Parts: sequence; C-alpha cells; structure tokens
Amino acid sequence: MSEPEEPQPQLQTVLFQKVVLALMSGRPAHEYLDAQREAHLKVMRELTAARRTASLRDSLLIDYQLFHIEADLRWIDHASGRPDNLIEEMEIEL
Amino acid sequence: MSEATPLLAGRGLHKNFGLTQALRGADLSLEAGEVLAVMGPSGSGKSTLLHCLAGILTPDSGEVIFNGQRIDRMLDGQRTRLRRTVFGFVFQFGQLVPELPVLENIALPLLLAGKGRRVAIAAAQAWLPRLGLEGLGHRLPGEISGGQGQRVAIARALVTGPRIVFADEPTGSLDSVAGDQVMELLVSVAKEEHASVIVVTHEPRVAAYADRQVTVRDGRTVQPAVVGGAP
Repeated sequence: MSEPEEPQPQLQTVLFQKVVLALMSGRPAHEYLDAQREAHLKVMRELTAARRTASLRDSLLIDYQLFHIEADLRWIDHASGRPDNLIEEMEIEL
Repeated sequence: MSEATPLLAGRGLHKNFGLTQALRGADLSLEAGEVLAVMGPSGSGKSTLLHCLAGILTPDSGEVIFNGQRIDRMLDGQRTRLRRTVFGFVFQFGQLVPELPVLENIALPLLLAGKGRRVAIAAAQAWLPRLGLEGLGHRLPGEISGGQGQRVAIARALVTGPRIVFADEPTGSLDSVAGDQVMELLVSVAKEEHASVIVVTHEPRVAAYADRQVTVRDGRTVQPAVVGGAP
C-alpha cells in the first residue's frame, strides 16, 4: 500500500490515431473532434448526474472517471486549436 | 430540444472591438428552465457572446430576443431595468461589494430595484440556509472563502427571482471541490426557482452540469452533433 504506483498515461490511442489518420488522409479533423467532444460531454453529463445520488465511495470513482474523460477533452480542445500546424508538420515528415 | 419559441435567442451576432472581431455571426438559443454551457478556448468570443445576450454589450449587427422583445434595440435605461429585474449575474470573482456584509450583498439587487430595506434583508436572509451560508450573514466578503463568496454571488443573482442567470466562469477562481459545490448549488437552486442558466466556461467538468453544451470558436457557435439528450 505504501509503494507508489508507476504513473500510467491513460492513453486513448484510438482517439489519437483517428485524429492523425484524418489529418494524414486529408479528411477534416474538426468534424471528428467536434463529434468526439459531444460524445465525451454526453458521458460527463451522465456521470455528473449519477454522482448526485452516489455514495461517497462511488462518487470518488465517478470523480476519477470524470477527471480522465476531462483530460481527453482538454486534448481534443488542444488538438482542435492546431490542426493546420499538425498538417504542415506531417507533410514535412511524410 | 423543443420546437417552442426560445426564452432567449441571439441570431447572427457580430461584435468588433477595434480591429478585433470578437463575434462573427454567432447564434444561440435558450429554452425556459434550461441550463446551457457555452464552452470555448480563451479569446473565442464566449464572454462577449454572454455579454451581448445579457444586454451588457450591444452587438454591431444581429438580434437578441428575450421573451419576444429585441434587447439590442432597447434604450440603455430599459436594458438596465431588464438586467436588474429578470436577469441575474454570477462572475468569476463574485464581484461582491467588499464593504458590505454578506446579507447586504445578497439584498443589494432588491434595494437597487426599490424594495424597502427590511423586506430586502428578510428576503436575503432566507437565501442563507439554501446555499449553506448559515451564520455568515454578518461577515464581510474578505472574511469568507472563495467558494462561500461564489455562493453569496449565486444568492444575489437569484434573490430577485430572475428568468435567466448568466454565469461567467463561476468556478474559475476555485479548486475542483469548491467548484463542484458551487455548480451543484447553482444548478439545483436555479431549477427549483425555474430559472434558466447560461454558464460560460472552459472547464468540461463545469459544462457537464448543463443540460446542453455549445462551443464557440473564432466568434461563431459550433452546432454540436446530436449524440443524445440531457440525462
């Protein structure tokens, strides 16, 4: 119990791959990112509503889930703000 | 979303500040009793949109309609009356009057609307337990925590019985626990009072308290893909 766990990046690799693939194939990443944002927010709304009636233990678990989904959303917003740069960067690399 | 006439609607809103285009054709509607989150990165125009919808700013073009009335065409005095009687406001730092105790801060909108002091203070007093502020009525804003200050701001926004509460980053200065408490109270008390809420935030956890989210990007509202309604 006293040993700290190795921090593990909770990578949503499919999310990341889809964005990169969309950009590489010339598809609009914004559309995918907007749809993904909606899907994430929907789950966050459901979790937030469920937390209202949850026990303390369950609400801590829900908080854990919310923070992780929020991390994805922050990345989505971050990625949404710079798709043009990503395209340029990838064109150089390819 | 219902097909009924919205309580508040902004259509084709444009607003420039010098050469900066803050809004470039933003559209937004709010139903009665709805809690709506307006999200977007810094500088996206979300606060400008809120201010135009609340009648604090006048858009350069486009229209803002509240309850069938064009707010953007109203005279300043009419808009001020509207803001004092049917709109309530919660800002990031509360913007409480530092010299006034909590109770008088809550009573302030009623006093400004011409209510007698005794009536206003009695009405304010009733809000203290609803927002977990018992025993704090005589403290000054500087003597309470940030979360308590925001709860005072919520009480002040709702004391007049507004139709809409406009909240601009209401948890922006709070840690996540205090922020959750503030949002839980804001949403639950507003629903009890049948008031609609528009909350501007860049935090997804805050937006998740809303029935619906709209994103502002480069001065325009992004219409979301339909993935399901509010829980």
